[in-house]
Amino acid sequence: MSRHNDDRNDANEQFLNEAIEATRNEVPSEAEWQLAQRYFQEKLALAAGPRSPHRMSRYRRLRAFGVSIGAAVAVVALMLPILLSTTSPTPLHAETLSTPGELRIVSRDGQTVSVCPLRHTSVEANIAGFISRTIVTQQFENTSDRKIEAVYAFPLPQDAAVDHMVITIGDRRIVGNIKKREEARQVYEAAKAQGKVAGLLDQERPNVFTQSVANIEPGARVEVEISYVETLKFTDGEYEFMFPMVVAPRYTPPITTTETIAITEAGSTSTEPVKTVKPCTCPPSVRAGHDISIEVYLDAGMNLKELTSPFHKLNIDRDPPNRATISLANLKEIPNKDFVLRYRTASPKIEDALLVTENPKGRFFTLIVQPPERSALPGAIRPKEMIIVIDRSGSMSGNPIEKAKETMKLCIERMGPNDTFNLLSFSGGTGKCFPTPVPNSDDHRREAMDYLADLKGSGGTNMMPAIEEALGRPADPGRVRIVCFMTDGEIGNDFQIIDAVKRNVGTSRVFSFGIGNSVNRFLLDAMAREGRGAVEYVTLQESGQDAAERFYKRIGEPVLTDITMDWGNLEVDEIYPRLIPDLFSYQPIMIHGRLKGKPEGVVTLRGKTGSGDFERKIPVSPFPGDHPDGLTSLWARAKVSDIMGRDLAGIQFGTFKPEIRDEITTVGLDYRIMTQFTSFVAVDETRVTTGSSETVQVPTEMPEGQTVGDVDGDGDVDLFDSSARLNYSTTQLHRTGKPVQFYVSDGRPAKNEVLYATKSKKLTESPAAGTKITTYNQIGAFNYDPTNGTVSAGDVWRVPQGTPVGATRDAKYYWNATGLPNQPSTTPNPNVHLNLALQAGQSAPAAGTAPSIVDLPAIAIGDAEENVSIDNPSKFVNAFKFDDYVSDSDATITALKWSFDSMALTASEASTTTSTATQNRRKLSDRLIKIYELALTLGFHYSPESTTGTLLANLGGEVDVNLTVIDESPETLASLARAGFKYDPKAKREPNNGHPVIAGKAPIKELLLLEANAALISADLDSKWLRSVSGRRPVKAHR
Amino acid sequence: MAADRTEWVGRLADLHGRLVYNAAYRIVGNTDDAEDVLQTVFLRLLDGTAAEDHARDWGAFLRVSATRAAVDVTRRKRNIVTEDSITMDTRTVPDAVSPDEVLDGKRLAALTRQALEQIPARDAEVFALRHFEEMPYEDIVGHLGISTNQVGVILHRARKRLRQILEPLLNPERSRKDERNVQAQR
Repeated sequence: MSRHNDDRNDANEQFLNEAIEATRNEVPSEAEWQLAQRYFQEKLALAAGPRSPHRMSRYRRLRAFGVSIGAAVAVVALMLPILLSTTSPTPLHAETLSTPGELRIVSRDGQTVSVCPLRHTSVEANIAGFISRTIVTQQFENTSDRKIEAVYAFPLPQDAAVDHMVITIGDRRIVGNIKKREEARQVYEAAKAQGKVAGLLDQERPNVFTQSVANIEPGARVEVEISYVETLKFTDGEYEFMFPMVVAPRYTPPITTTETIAITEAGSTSTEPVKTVKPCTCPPSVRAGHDISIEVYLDAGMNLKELTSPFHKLNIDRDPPNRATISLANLKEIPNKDFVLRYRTASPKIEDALLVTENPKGRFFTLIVQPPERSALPGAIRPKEMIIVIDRSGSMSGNPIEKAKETMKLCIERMGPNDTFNLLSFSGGTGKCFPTPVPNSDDHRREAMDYLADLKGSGGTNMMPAIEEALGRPADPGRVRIVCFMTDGEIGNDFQIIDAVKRNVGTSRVFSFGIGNSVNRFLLDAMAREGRGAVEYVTLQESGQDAAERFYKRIGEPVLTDITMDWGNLEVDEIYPRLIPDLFSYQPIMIHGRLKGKPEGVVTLRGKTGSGDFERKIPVSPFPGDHPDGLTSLWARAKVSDIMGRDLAGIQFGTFKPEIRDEITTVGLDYRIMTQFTSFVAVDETRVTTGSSETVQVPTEMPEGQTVGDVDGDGDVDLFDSSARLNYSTTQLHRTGKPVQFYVSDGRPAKNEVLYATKSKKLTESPAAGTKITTYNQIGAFNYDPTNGTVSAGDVWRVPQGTPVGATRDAKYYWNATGLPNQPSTTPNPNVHLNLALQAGQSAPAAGTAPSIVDLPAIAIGDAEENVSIDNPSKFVNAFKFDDYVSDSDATITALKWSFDSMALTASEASTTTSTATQNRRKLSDRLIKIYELALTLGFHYSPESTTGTLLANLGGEVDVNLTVIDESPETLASLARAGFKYDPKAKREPNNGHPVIAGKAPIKELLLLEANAALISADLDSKWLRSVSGRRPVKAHR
Repeated sequence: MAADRTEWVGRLADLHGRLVYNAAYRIVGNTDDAEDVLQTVFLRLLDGTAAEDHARDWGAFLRVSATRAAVDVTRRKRNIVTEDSITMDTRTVPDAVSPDEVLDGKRLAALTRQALEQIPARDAEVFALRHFEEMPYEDIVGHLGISTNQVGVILHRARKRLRQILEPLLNPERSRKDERNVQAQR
């Protein structure tokens, strides 16, 4: 017995020692430490004394302000009382994770409700000479206890010829078949319905793809292998291999054409729309939960030197002289910036090479020809008309716009004495420094510098007017016009832009500057190509100086222009590109084609250099050694690009001609490559899973250097852009009845600093005027006049039933609010744009029938800033953007969805004949307040200078609040006094933490100010409230 | 004074901040609270409210302060630890260790923290300083103002109590049986 006890004590002692060791070994990561350090330094600086706020960025300013109220730890907690409940048993809670780890949804008791189904992406690239073959393996794993479908939007290089997809489940490998896009979708949907594991790969844009994997059972793993081939970039002696890691949220501006466009899904005969590129981006400081590893096997073919990567630390294993294996030093890298590998070889020259492959489809080749040396006659440079166009949209705010300004400044400084110039900037609208281009004088340059200094990133990205402005003016006959676009290209209407460049370029030359660490290379490359110029990428870490230098070298001394190729006795067919672009840098001329005869002969390269005509005869014969596979795919991909280039506008709007669609489809099917109209599908026929499944969007990281929530930079949190996150959360919220974690937009998960829960509001002031909303099938925008607080008119749309997810429409469907019901206005309003995102799969209503708003399955509301004229504050149009955020598979209405829905008029409200203008105004006000409350509840905040914030502040009204003062510093108390709160140190205190609670009414305006001050906001969703909200029956179930 | 003192605190934080942060994290188990502790410890130095007379060895002094502040935080919060609330940050996992092992370690650490919350604050503080921070007796004596003998007694008591608290986790089946035996004897 005693020995037994001794043993037991020993075991316990050992266990305690293990426990001690485990605890001792637990330390935060370096990244966490750096974050902690940053916050500490900010606090220290604030504690030491005030800083000049104008020297801080907007983000920092907000944070600093918030923290200065609560100098020590916490700021002010707004506890808005629960109107619909009096007691609050088992409150739900927005719990924060202790580490910025995976995107998990956790409950207050710490239970993980869901996690990201994509575990890891591994990238393996084999580079031989100019060609690389890359295999991307995505590992999906379902760690939840429900069967899921994972949907993941991800990028690949824009020129990638994707020619393989394989899915692996356990030891079964299923090779994907290429099919017409809609057929592939049908096969996939059928397999999904039958419970079979299936994978579908769709191309949304040349550089954006969507992978769907159906029926991943709990605990199961599915691997998807995607393989593509591409050619490497080579510029002035440097090779570049790039793998994009993140799809940034794109801004899609309103369609400005007056005709309603029949938006059709690429390749389909239905009237589905082209999906907007809307990746599911996760909040800052939250990892999307998946990481990436990259391994590159490089055979340079000659002595290899200078291997570098601008953004990532590399492990390099050299195998001299030609080979190296390169991998990311961090095996679990966060995919939030593009991977770029650059290297040089012993020879800065390119060798001519003819690579040939033969298969049943024919003989295909890729010809690589070295260009001549750069040469220029002294004094031969023509004077220039320089038009520099800078993107000042929200996505450029912060570092990117500063980098653009730096580069732009250097470009201006380097201009020649006879040059003229102008500066344009665009976001939602277009701005100009001078009405027309001006001579390069000291005064003008100074003025330009002032103009530059004032540029700030905010608003949407409406590039079209800027292109028309820059290229559309008559050319100066004495000067060559050079147009430089500086942008990140994060824009949804890329094809439309490229088309506009192509149509307007005339004799101008377009140089695009990609600014940032994850830019839309597809757009920038194509703009330069169509604009007969060159592209330059300026990363945030690189110097603008180098980029400006290269730019001047290029425009001053183009390597070779007006290039033609005489194929001589070589029998070739279907050569792409048909027209060889001018070379501004020392780059190879790369041509893909089909060979009819022998791969031997002499070809002649002709063109113009700075010093005159150029001609070179090149004897060609097959390049010795192994020829890489994939030449056929490269040729097919080049052919597709060529076909697409014939109707870019059509591809943007889905109105492309049938013959173009057919041609692309045929190439895709014949040569087994991904196109916008052909997709890969793979189905595991051997097993059938049971039970229902739920769709989970794989979140992607925000690109490094950008903040989420305020993509358009107006100070509002854009629910539109974060809708995917809402989708993820609200589904869980409903299903489990468990609390959900939300994040705020200052880069840090909110903690117990500022908590809200509110459902109480009382308006003391309503706008007056003649808005009349008499039917419930309208949603829309209201003209609001803050000078007299009236709603003067409203533009209201009807939303046709069956309007699918992601549809965007112009304002053709709007009704004049005063003339309701069913009085379509005859004048389309180009300012008004409604972004609809309704549930797919509903059938269209019969012609002439008026669908009802309850057919909208779910709407989330942000604001449509592009509709607001900030320049005219006395009157602006504010529209709300409606967006889908509830997953299609979720048949029941979620609590949050319901609260959004309740913003629509109820059936009885709509049908009542006694409805008065006053009642309707009250309803409108109520709805605005609800938007505000929802924003609070979701942990977002509207700053007073934001669109909705301004609207709310001007609207007036009060909200009942309970204010918990966590920090009783003089600053906080002063702030409270300004907001009209009476602070009494002896007032009631919260029992659990001793903080004083101030109850009272607060004007929304003041709350907004407090809110802006309190940089950290989190939501405390109270179960009671949720229950009371969800307990109310909806007007009509949407299914 | 302000500028000089701020600079001095900043320098101290550069030198010892990480240790303070780590010490806090071991006890509170999450970065948010550890950040708060970090800020509390140094801002106290800034406004002169820290008892810094003993501070010949700043590293030790700050770790003691951090441990004390962290223990305070846990007393105030009384977090309930369940297995699901233990989040795993895979980035800090060395490749040689399997995720399961790390999760086990995390779990064990979380349970240890939970156990520490159940013993007196002073005992938890001494225990953490000795075993997590591996601080020599004399430093604990110097900074806490207690005798060497007291440190020994506290540590013995703390270990005994922690063993008892942790035992059911080591062998839940046996401890239930023991409990039944005890009840039967009664």
